[in-house]
Amino acid sequence: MTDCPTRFTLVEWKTGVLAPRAAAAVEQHLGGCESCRANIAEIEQHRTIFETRGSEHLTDLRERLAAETVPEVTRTGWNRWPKLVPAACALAAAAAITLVVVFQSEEPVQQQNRDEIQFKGELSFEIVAKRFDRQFHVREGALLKENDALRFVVTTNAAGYLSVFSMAQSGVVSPFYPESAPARDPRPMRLERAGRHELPGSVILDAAEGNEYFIILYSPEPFDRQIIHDRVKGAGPTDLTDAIKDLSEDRKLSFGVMKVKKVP
Amino acid sequence: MPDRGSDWNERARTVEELHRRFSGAIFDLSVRMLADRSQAEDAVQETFVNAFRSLDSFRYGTNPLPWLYRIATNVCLRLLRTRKRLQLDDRADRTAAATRDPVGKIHARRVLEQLVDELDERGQVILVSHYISGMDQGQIAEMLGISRRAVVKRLTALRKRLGHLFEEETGND
Repeated sequence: MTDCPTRFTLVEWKTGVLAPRAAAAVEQHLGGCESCRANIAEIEQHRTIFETRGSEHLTDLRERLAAETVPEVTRTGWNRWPKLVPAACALAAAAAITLVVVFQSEEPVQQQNRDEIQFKGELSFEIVAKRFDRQFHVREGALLKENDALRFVVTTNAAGYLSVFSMAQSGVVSPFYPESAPARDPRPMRLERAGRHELPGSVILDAAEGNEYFIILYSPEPFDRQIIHDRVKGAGPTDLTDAIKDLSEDRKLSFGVMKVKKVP
Repeated sequence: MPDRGSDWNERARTVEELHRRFSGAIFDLSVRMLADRSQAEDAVQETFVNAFRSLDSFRYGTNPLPWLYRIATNVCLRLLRTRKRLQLDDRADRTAAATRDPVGKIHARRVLEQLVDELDERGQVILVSHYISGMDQGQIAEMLGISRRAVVKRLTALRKRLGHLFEEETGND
């Protein structure tokens, strides 16, 4: 079958790191592909072989680690080593995004707790914030501060094109991904494959206070970011969602909007 | 576990959790690269020790598997360079991937081994990540933090070279 996932993707599925949609796509594929099922069986066989001496391996690992010291590194921002990525229970999904009343919602990252937001169309995303040495998932209405560092993780069910930007309460629009101003280069970011994408780098929040809206747009086809930004600027914060909905219908865009509040 | 201070303890706990969850997957990769169960087990352990050392390079909120694969690939390549030759004994072949073409599989290993010797470190990682780990161009680019275009360029050159080597190999039978 020409649409078989790669062996690496099968391993990702087997170890449970795929986003729910991507995992469901793999499961559906496996139902009809003997070759991929054979690969899965081999991956499982190898795991079983290794785990027949599981306790010995763990003891051996601990002995090896006991000889290690913590390396000296400059721990600034994301260089400080983070906790293990959590798996998660999905947030309740909204088919269309509505702006909600601000509430305290800094959810500490916990094991087995990924905050993945499903939005209209074939897109889901999560935002992870880091403040000093604390990390937390950003949810609708979160209170954020200057110098909070945000990471974006986007999951799509096909290759395509992505744009992530914000609108401040003042109406100022700031591009995140791609970082370049649309006037200079209107092209969106290319996603080469379906699945989970950890967008590179972090977005460091500025000092401007008030409501801020993070907007994520995805399409299987290229689109013009300048048109999107102009329409959003013209709408302003009060009509932002309607403007995005109109754009998404015109251009086969999937979108997500998250409102947060910047506080001192 | 001994108390070596909170930072060490936290690191060790994280690595143990990574080991619990992903050691089977890393063993799968290692045994396919090394074709030797014992060496593959050792490669798994060394991978997680290296993960402990380089935990600062792991970015929070990301999938750890590409990062672990990168470490494991480098560990296995180091072992291959030291060992110099893949061992093609029957036990390794039974452990390694099933094949509908055992003769083709032996040819493939010899050819890959020869190509590994010809390449720089990045080329080796790209070669084994694609042909042994089964990663596509985008996944390799993401793992290495390079552009997809760079991966495509390398793989195109590798495919041409592989084609020549296969012709030489089958011509020797």
